[in-house]
Amino acid sequence: MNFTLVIAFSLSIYIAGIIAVIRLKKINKIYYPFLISIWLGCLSELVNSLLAGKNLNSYTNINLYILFETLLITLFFRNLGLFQFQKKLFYSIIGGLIAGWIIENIIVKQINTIAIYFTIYSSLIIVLLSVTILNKLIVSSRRTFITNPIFLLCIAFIIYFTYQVMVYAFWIYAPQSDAGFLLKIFSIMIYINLLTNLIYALAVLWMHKKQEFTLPS
Amino acid sequence: MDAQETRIYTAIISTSLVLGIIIIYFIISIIRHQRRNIELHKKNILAEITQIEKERARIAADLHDDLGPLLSAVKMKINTFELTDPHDQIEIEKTNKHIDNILKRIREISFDLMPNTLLRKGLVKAVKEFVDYLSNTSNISFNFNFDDDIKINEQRSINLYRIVQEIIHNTIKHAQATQVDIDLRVVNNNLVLTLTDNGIGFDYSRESKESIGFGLRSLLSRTEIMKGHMYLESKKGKGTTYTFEIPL
Repeated sequence: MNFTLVIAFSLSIYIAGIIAVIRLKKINKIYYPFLISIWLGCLSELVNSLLAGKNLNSYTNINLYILFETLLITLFFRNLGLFQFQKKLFYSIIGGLIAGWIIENIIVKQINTIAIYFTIYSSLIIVLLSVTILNKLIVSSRRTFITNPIFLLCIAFIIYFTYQVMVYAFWIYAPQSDAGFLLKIFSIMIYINLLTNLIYALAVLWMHKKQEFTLPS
Repeated sequence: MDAQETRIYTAIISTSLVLGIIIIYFIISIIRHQRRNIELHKKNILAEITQIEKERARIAADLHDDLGPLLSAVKMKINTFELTDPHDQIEIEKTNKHIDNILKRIREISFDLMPNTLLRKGLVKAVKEFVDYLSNTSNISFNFNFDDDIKINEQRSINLYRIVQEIIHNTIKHAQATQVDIDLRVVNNNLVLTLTDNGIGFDYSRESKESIGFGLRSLLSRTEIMKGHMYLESKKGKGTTYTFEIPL
């Protein structure tokens, strides 16, 4: 796959980012952490592209982005009422994520190297939280799922982060000396990233100011 | 790629495909089951509400058409007695007042169960009559605004009337409001009903921790069977706004 296409696919996050800017006033505040994570994603992809163009290491940027993305998505889940009855769980997850990030990126390794274990750990947490939100949605939502932004986002999170766990798990056992082969493994994520960004864009289009009344679950 | 790398790469591709199939199946099955679940839920709610409304209409008719005239006849019969004893005359007067009170109460209950205006003249007139009545009997002032050309069928009229009735009863009971604004408009082929009060409001996320009340469930059920959407905005001290969007 050529470099231009890879950059074009990774910049597809801008579609959701631009829609979010245009529709911001029509979007309920509960979605704001997710929107911020999209804009951070836009910024991060831009920085990555610039660094890649100059053949510079972009892991510092990626590691910081993964931490903030995970924290913002967890905050978004809290806004959806996921931790309504378990506030301690929310703070434990946030604390666990920050501690995990510090251990791998500062204590055990350096921030400018790939943080495989933290990425797997944070991805697993997001997948599990997404499944829990989906379960709540099945019980409480009477609206069609196809136009439900929360459903679309959960599906996008499940697809993206499940594949991320799988790719990084293979990465651990792949021969580390062959950079070309490692990139080939990672190329799966380029397509998954494109699909996820398109689902994000669709979800942002369906976000509304008024939050529909549903039964508590 | 050497032989080991080829094996790993094949394993990755195979796992990716299997994972993709599982996720696609997961998504499709969730959407299909949720659709079926919604349909079933709506059918059950519709059957329940139709049954309730039939019962209410029957009881209202029985009260208004049978019990009312019967009591009036009793009153007339009593008044035909030619009594000379002043004590008996006082008792008859008292009985007349009791019968009048009972007749008034029967009319109120019958009106509450199924107002004739709703079936004969439609939703707007019925809501107007309802709020006019409440303006005279409660401390709340009502402001009812509506579009003139609203045309909806009887079943939807009944459901929307019940929604207005339920919210106003809740407002009188709990909101400590002095003003209620009711707005009934047609916007983009949707019938939009908005009720706003200036009462004490409530924190829905906190109140719903245990369970939401029967009243809110009933509002949601009636909205769902009309294929509409219900929105509730409320904050402590800042009143409550209920919005219903019903597709026409």
